[in-house]
Amino acid sequence: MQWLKHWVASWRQPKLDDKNSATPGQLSRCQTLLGTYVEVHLCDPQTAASDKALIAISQAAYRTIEQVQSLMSFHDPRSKLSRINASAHIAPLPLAPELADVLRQALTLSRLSDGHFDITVAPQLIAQGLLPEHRTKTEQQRPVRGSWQDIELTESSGRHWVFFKRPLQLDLGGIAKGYAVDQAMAAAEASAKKQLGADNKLQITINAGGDLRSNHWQGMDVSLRHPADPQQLLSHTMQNCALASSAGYFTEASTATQAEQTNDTTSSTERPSAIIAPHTRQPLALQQSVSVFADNCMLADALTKVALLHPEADQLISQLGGQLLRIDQHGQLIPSTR
Amino acid sequence: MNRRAFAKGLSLLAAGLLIPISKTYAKTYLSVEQARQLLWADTPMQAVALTLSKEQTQSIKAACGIRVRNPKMNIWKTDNSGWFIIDQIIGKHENIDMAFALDMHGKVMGMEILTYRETYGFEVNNPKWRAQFHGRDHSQHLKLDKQIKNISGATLSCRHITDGINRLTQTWDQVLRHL
Repeated sequence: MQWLKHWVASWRQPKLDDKNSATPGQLSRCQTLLGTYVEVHLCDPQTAASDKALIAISQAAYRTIEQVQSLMSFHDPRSKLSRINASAHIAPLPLAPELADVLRQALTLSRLSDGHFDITVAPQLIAQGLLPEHRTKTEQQRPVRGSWQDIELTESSGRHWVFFKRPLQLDLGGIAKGYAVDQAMAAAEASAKKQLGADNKLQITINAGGDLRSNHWQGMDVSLRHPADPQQLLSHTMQNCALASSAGYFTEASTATQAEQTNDTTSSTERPSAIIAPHTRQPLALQQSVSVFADNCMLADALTKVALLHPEADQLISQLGGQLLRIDQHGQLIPSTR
Repeated sequence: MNRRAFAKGLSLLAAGLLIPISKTYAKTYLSVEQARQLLWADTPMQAVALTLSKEQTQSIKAACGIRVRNPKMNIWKTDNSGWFIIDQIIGKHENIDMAFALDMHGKVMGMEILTYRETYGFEVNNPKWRAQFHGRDHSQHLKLDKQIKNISGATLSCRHITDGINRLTQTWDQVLRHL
């Protein structure tokens, strides 16, 4: 029935004078960045903000995300992260302050979670077809067995350095996305101050493929996807300014595709996810979804991995200031008892 | 009756026969005019009527590996030989209206997502989705929700957009640059 859908979709011809979505004091944009859809919603409750000012504010947010992407993308072989992956095991490399910040926080969480959070599972994601292979054929033959414990961060004469004790492949994935949202929010708020004055009440929400942050989150409802039926949305009230979710649907790995072909995709059958258990290096079969509210998006995203992998996740997440919400395969919302 | 008109009639008939389920939703971001302002500011532009020939669509597909689903292009040529293009990208889970700006060398200067529709299952089942075709003005965007929903979930890949860009840059290379 795909063909019918496509035909129906192809009749709608837009016109240049279509103005129906312009509301004064509001702007919603969506761009493709970080491998996903990044939405920026701006709303001035006083409806005084001009389109021009709102566009400038949204541009500030998108530019910041582009910068984080150029530093931390695994997919881009020219990113700073890819250069580190290629040669930080040979000699220490200087680190951009932003990367040093993210790596330091990632390592802290690895230590606190006994390695259940680990940014070195990229080789398994490459094997699943979820990340691209940048290494040459000869390099691929050398085994990559390092873990988070082989990452050395040092600081000397005001510069940050990174060194891998064994060859490693870092993938910052979700936490880079969370970090990008946090930085974009800061940039948008700074730009709003400049454009609209220090006492502006501009409501800003940034959503990068589910890593969501809002500066007016109190009382705001968000939609969470049903783990077994992602088009079904479950409503929940925001518990903090940042939210991230993790689940198995949408995984487009080769292994997942095979699973989809043999199983009924709409049922709650387990299929391999993009979540790799660091200790076994095996993809996690996921039936549930987890969402974590926290005071920043990077932490929220990292804690979703902890929620899925750590045996005492509830306790650890609450200690770190996060609030965990699980959704089981029947769509039942299970808040943490902690 | 040409093939498209026949298909149109057939799909409307089929859509009418199906039992409605209301699960689909859409998000509308910028209007076409807002996107034009954002991408081209006040640069003057003129609409160009263009329907790709069968040979052209086949040759574009051969060059980029992506099928041209709609040969009728929504394009405007700017006074400085750039292009403003409204196009639809159909992915596995999503169906997206986009605006693109190409410069005089066919380079993508910018793009904006205008409408994003989830396309799980079979969306013509949805009466609201169908309703848009009953209006007189086809330019009307579908708005199921006044407020854009903030959705959190597993990350949805945007790789179909990359496919769409490849198709458009090929279309520029083979057709638009000669106009």
